[in-house]
Amino acid sequence: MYQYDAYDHKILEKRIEEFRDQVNRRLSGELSEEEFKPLRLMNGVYLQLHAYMLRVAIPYGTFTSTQLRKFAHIARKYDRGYGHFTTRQNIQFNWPKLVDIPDILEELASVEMHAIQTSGNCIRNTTSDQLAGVAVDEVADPRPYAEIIRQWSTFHPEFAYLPRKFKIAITGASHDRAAINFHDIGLEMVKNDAGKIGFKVIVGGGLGRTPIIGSVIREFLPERHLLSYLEAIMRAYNLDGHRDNKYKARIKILVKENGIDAYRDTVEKEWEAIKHEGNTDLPEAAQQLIFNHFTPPTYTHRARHKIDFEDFFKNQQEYAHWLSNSRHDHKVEGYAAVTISLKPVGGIPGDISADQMDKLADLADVFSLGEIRSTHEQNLVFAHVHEDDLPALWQELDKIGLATPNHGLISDIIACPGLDYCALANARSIPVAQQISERFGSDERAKEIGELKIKISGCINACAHHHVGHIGILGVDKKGVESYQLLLGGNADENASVGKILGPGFSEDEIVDAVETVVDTYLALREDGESFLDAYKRLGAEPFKGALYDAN
Amino acid sequence: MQIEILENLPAETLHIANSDSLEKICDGYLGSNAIVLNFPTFTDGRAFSQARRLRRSGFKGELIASGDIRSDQARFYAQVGFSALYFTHGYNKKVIESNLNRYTDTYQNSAFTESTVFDRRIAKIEAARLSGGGAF
Ligand code: SF4
Repeated sequence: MYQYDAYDHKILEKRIEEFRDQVNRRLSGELSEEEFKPLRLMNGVYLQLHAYMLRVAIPYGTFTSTQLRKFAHIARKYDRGYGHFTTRQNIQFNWPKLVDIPDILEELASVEMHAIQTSGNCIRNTTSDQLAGVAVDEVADPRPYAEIIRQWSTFHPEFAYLPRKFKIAITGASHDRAAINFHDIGLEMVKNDAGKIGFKVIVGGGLGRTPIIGSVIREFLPERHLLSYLEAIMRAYNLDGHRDNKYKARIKILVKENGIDAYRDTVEKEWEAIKHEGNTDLPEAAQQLIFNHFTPPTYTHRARHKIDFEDFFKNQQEYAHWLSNSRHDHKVEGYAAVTISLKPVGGIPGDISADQMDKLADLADVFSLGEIRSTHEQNLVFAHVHEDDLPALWQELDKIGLATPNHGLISDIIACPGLDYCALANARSIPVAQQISERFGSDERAKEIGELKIKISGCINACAHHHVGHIGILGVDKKGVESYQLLLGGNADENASVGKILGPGFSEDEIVDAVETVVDTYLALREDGESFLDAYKRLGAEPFKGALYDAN
Repeated sequence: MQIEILENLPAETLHIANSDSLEKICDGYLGSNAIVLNFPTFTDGRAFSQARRLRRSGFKGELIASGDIRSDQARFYAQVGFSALYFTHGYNKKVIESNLNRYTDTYQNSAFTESTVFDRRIAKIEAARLSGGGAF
């Protein structure tokens, strides 16, 4: 994992000093809320419906047990005893007091964490594959490059006030777990015919009001030119992106309006100029220094943690069920990666209590080299578990309520904060997620339904990516009443597709029944072993529409 | 880092609209004494990129940021190549000073520093190697 050097520490220290001064000026009244707003937004501090919210960056979703214990401490001391993992692999605290935030940032800095650029119209936290470095289908580990992007984009003076926020995702695997087709820039590591590593660069994808699948701007970018190429894309966007209308300001609209070919011409010309200047791409030695932090661990560890055999044999069916959807193959034989679901039945997707965090940190030390990953589906991952340790890990997770066996299944729902927290919401998301997970709470039933991703956004801003849910749910305002639209057939991976709205919306009382009708229709019509998504592709929307709207 | 605060605009300044992406920069621009780039609101960051392009093309004169510019961002203006700020509203000199001097290391190349954090890391290791000590 990357470890800060003296430069990184100093920059962070200075930033906190600066922010503390800004908070003091706000508290003394020297700055108005209007003047303070852009300053706090530079640092992940939002004003929500009821309170300030602090969003902490987890660069490319990798963190340590020490950092997790710090989150637990912050949740206890400054918040209400819990944290919330987001769809950008970050963690949010929903109830901090403004006056405490500089202290919280100092606590975070002591474990090499920050809240820089987790909000505002700037380059946000780069997200990545949660199995980076251990995935079996990986060309190369994307994390060193994600770290290079993190450093390059931190306080980039030119790109602090872009037309809109800007999100980059990077993966090194052929199966896309990072949704790179739906980011402002998506990077896929590839090998060319000469065996050299580089990036396939995708630009202009995104969700929100106008969901668009990204376009390939460059099939092969040599890896040493990553930063110069990113800078060229950013500069062209900063100068030419829409500024007059917030809803047209993302890069996807610029690319769509100009066409990818025209946009590519502009970018490539700028790229040549930047390469000619020669001061943006990293010197090889500097790149190597970052790479040194990511040398793979030597896999010799095994916890040999004691197992309660009686309990194990009594519940082995549950274990088998958990294993079947939580375990992932690993590059190194004898090891596995494990998803830890943050979607207990009836719970709030992505929430975790301070006590759970502390215990999970201990388990990470015992079972997984003290390292944890967060996923864009709001779950966590242990990436280095010995296969023989799986039963013991399962038992320990179960003791702290973190062995829900639903990863990838119907109750592994992504939901945005919605009307319970968010000032922009039209409708509640969390209660709908809770009700659906209760309705399909039986493990047997969930297993029978198989892989099914439900995503629920409380408004058109699509923070929960409802367009790419196999079943997407969108909260809308229908003459002052909360209403929910259903979308089917979205997909965020390498076979990217955008879901289509089925028809008129449903009330809060009807939406869970409507989801059940869709699921039952699928179960009745599916062919052997066919997933929901495959069945939908074969059948189209009609049978689902029929079942939902023609009944009476 | 440094940046001058102007009380008045110099005579014969050239104003370039921020809708001009400066993909082509005419010789006329490069020959000017002083160029003013405008931030219609502080959240409109186009002039940052315009400044970079002008400096890259060899513009050596005074490059002035004006409009809704903010004291808390002084170093960003300086880093991309502005040499002066012209405020049309109040500013806080103390905040500007501390903003300019607070960060001595940056990850990005800038008009003010010869070396980035990346360069400095290499130099540090190189120096340690030459002095015979270990780098770590
Ligand atoms: S989708 Fe809408 S309601 Fe949900 S968090 Fe985003 S802005 Fe808020």
